[in-house]
Amino acid sequence: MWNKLKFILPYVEKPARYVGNEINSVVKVQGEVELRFALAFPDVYEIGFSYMGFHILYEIINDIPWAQAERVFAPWPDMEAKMREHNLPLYGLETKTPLDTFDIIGFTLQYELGYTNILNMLDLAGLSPYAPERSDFPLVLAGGPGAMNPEPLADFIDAFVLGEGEEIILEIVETVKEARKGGLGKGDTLAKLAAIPGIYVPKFYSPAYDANGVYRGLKPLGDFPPLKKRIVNDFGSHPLPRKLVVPLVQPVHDRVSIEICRGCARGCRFCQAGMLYRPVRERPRGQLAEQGMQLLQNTGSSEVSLSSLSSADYSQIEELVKDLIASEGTSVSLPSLRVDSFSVELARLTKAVRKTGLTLAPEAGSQRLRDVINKNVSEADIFNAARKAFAMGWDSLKLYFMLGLPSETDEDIVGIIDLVRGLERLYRETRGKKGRLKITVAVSTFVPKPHTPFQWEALLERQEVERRQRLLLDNLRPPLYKVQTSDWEESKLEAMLARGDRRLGRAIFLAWQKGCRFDAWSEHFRPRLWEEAFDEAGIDVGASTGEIPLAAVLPWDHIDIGVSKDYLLGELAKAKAAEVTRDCTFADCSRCGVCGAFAVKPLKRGGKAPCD
Amino acid sequence: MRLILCYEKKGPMAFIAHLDFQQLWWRIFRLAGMRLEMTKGYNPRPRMRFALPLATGFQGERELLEVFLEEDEEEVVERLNNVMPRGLAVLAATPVADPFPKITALVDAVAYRVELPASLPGLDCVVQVAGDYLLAADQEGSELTLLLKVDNQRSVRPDTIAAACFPQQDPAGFAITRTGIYARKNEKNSPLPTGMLLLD
Repeated sequence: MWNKLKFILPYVEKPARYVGNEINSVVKVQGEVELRFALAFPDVYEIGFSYMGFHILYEIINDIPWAQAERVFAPWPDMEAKMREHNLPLYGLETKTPLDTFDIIGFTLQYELGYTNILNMLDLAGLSPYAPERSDFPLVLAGGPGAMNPEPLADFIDAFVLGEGEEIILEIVETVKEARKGGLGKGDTLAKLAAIPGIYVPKFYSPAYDANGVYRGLKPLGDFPPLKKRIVNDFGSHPLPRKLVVPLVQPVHDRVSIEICRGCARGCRFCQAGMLYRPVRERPRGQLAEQGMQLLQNTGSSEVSLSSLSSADYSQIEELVKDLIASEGTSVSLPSLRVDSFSVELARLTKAVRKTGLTLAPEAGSQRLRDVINKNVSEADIFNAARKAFAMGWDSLKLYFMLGLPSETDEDIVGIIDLVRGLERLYRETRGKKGRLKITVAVSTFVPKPHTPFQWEALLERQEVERRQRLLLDNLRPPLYKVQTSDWEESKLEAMLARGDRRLGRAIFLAWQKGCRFDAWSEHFRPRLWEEAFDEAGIDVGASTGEIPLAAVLPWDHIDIGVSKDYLLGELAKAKAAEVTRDCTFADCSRCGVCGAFAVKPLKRGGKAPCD
Repeated sequence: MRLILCYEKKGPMAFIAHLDFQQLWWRIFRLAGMRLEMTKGYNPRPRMRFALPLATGFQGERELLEVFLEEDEEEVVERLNNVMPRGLAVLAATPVADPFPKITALVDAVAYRVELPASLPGLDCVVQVAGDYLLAADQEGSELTLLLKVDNQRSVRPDTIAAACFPQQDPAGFAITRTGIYARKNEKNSPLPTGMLLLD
């Protein structure tokens, strides 16, 4: 393989993406390996490195003496062309052996716009994208948030892994190793896997539709455990990875992430991660400080990023930051700050923020709409945070908003404009005429996601989204303001792939066949081809992105994430009444059901309450 | 402590681009527990100089790198090799002290080995393309060796030469190895750091 590769690599951009051989990568003596697992990321090399789950699984599998985990990423189109030209199959980076010789290929589904890359990677491995056409090993698995509505990929994936992977991965590799030893075929092995709680094998379930083609649910074709996501038994005691593979193509930031807590109970009604990763659990501060420093030492990095869905909510965040920066030459970054002055204080402790500027996410421009989406942030919080930031010397501010949220009107858009202009006035009051302020307003389009209170809501139509974007662009002009908007076509595709049922698979296949890949990259995104694919697959895009009746059977109803549908319905009703629900780690239980579903003790945080 | 390292960059490592490679060295020093001196100014960076950047895709047999360590360190070669990815190895470390010139100022010539798709009928095309930069050229079978003058860090690329001789082939397709970096001897750089070759 290397002999072929070395003549191809000089022709491609960033060849280091394809050579493996990184510090901390693991290559085992192949004779001792009984099971080979390809961890596949359906996007390019540098992107894959920022997903912690990928690193965690790599280490867990490679800690097993008889198992080898390798990594494989989507080759960039220039490399794909060369591989096809020279008949070079997709290979694992560690041993450079073809992907079709592995026992398992496991894809991580982090965002919908990577789906065509999955088909393409299977094809580059010489495998059929369609699961029923692959009669033999490797098994193709998929996990991650996208597996929580697995139906659009049900035609292509042999088995989905639901929820957190740290424990179930051991059960999977053990089961497959034994199956291989016993000479079981693919079908029998899948039957064994389907008996593990948290594994969904789509071919063992048959979808039903009514006479009008309306989806009516799945019928199991056997006796299987309930399809409930897995969580790790004791997150707090689960160690951080000891080592991380260090990429040879340097990412923008050279840092290691440590996961300080998992889950978020703030309850933003649009947020899928906030629902999927419940319950909220924290790692002890002592463990984080010690293992975090160890990780820095083992990777040769100097910056540690405290990762979580809301870092500032961690019970002892201030103490933890101080623990870490106490060591010379170590800097800390906080990727997810709250909108309040406490967070800004915290950011000041970490010099990493100084360079990048301060980022806040009010998400909506009016108090009414912030209450509708349950973003428990007041105007006073936003101004207090900004006042503090300006006083500390920050000149650039990035604000995240969403457009097209349920019930949004022009008043809410004007609210964004007023808010941003108000921040400018505040800056002038604080800093006088001298400072050079720059406010970036990043506006994404609301996309309804499965398992959220807004899962039944519509994606706002194109014309209206673009009109509202224009309203912002016209009123917040450069050079003082920079408004970044997103392409509605991308939002549409995201909505389609997020909420689709099994019939969507045909459209994904057709789109891939027409040449769609790297849909998340605007330079490769081909909306016209997708349009054709939906047409040919007979899928009504308008209806699929519209509002869903509350009584409808949803394509992801068979996947139990522990959060009850009643809670989601209740949250939707409260949204319509602009009523808020407080974070249960600081206030009363919100009865989402997840603690009961997993028999965990709810986490209660004292300390500094978030801003509501 | 000022050191000149001689190292090899082979196999997969040849495909690491220069800027990524520079950051890899910073990391290797941190992993080996040696602190590099930082430059002064708004955006401090580790003090380090490559004798002459190596193009992505070229292998190097005796590359030279000058580094400034905060403290005097022992067993530098072993400690670096312990943390280095395969394909990269330090062959020697020579301590130098002021007024030894910058390594970049020392480079007077470089030698390459180019694997050609076939042997050349003669070396005329090489002479034509390389012009004044050509100090020596030789051919054995389809293997071309070149000694090229470097003037103020400027020279002619070996792939440009090979491409001119084989116009039908894409210049990226030649396997190229830099086999050595040369200096002319003078009173300031004597003795030369280990790994640096003498041009006479």
